[in-house]
Amino acid sequence: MAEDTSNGLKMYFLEISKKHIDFLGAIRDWENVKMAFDGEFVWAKDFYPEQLNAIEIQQIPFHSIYELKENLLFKKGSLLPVKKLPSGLLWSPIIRAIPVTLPKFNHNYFGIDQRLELHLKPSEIENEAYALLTDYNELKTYIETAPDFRLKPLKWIVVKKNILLLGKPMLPIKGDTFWLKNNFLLPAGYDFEHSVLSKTIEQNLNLLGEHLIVWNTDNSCFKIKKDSLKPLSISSFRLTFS
Amino acid sequence: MPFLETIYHLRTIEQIILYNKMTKVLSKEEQETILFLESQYENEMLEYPGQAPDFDGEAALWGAKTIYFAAQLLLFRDHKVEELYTFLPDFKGEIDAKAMLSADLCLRFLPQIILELKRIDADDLAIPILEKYMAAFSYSAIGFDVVSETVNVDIVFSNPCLKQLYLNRVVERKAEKTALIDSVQKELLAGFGDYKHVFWNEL
Repeated sequence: MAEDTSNGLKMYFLEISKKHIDFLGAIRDWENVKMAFDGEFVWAKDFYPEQLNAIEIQQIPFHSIYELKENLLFKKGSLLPVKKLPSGLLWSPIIRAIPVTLPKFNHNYFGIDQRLELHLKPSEIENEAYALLTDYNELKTYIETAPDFRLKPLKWIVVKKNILLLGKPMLPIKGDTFWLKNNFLLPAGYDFEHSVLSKTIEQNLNLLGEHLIVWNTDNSCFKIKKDSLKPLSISSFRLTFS
Repeated sequence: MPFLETIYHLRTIEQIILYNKMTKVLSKEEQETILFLESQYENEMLEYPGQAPDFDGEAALWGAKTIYFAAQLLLFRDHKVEELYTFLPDFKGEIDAKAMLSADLCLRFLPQIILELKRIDADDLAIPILEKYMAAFSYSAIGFDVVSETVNVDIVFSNPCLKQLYLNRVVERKAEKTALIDSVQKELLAGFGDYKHVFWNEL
């Protein structure tokens, strides 16, 4: 998604010295970003607006971000142009510009005992909520007089002392929200620390795709069998708790 | 028990099967039918929002008989026009929320029979009688154009449970004419909240 200055959209460039290029590894998986080399410096462009404020960018040391106006580069927030954008840059997707070098295979190495601990971290990217974890009393006061068209699109399951509602549009009641990523329900505003690994994590935890895995912000999780979800209705609720 | 059998099939597989020809319903059979309809009502009550009104046996039986003879009239026309009212008598009790919901157990199938009667003979004298009942029991008539827009929603909206059920059915059947009545439309929009485009964009 190239942003065009003619549309009034702002175009941002990231500049970093070539000797610090390794730090760009953190954003190597952003497919939209393009990169070019220019002497001692490396340039990157085509960021989504939300990516510019993302933690991944803020963590890169020695970088500068410029805004392009009339072919002059302004430091972000500054009114004075600093320099011109070098001409004749050769842009290529960042994922190809920074290839991964695998460590040499060690023929004498026999144990595979490294472990990766899974963590969630706050994410800047917005995702629509898909599930709501609420409690019995909250749901009861709402559902007893609810219109059935609000209940029909939803599924539900009792989880220990709480109730998990899945589907959209959500009911107007209090609770914790989750968003859906593959078969994971992640707390709203969070994502895996190693987001690229989510497919691999799923293969390990949920090979047949029979479960939904609900994550808590404290990195714990629990599984829910998909076929134990039931359509939400007043009678289903009443019969469960009578 | 031909009457009970017919009503049983109607309630379980939603088909009308007739076993005899225009015979009177015995009072013993009436009692059995009321018991059956009461158990059906108790099942449906589970799905009713809030506090459901009590079962009204008289109204339920009247609804069952109305649909039973309306179905018979589709097939058998040996009787004189004056006799129509003996088969399709008025409802004697008060038409309130509990009567409307109890009668609806069977009456909800009546619009289809009226449409069929119209298809056979649009001037059939049984049609105005049945349409009069549909207008009175407006909950059962939602979505079928058998009744004009002069629906009186006051009785319906006087009971919160029936009111919500009424709105549910308006949405389910996408009954536009009913939905455009001011008081109904206001309540519907309140129920949709921010998601009108999901539930009923055209309204």
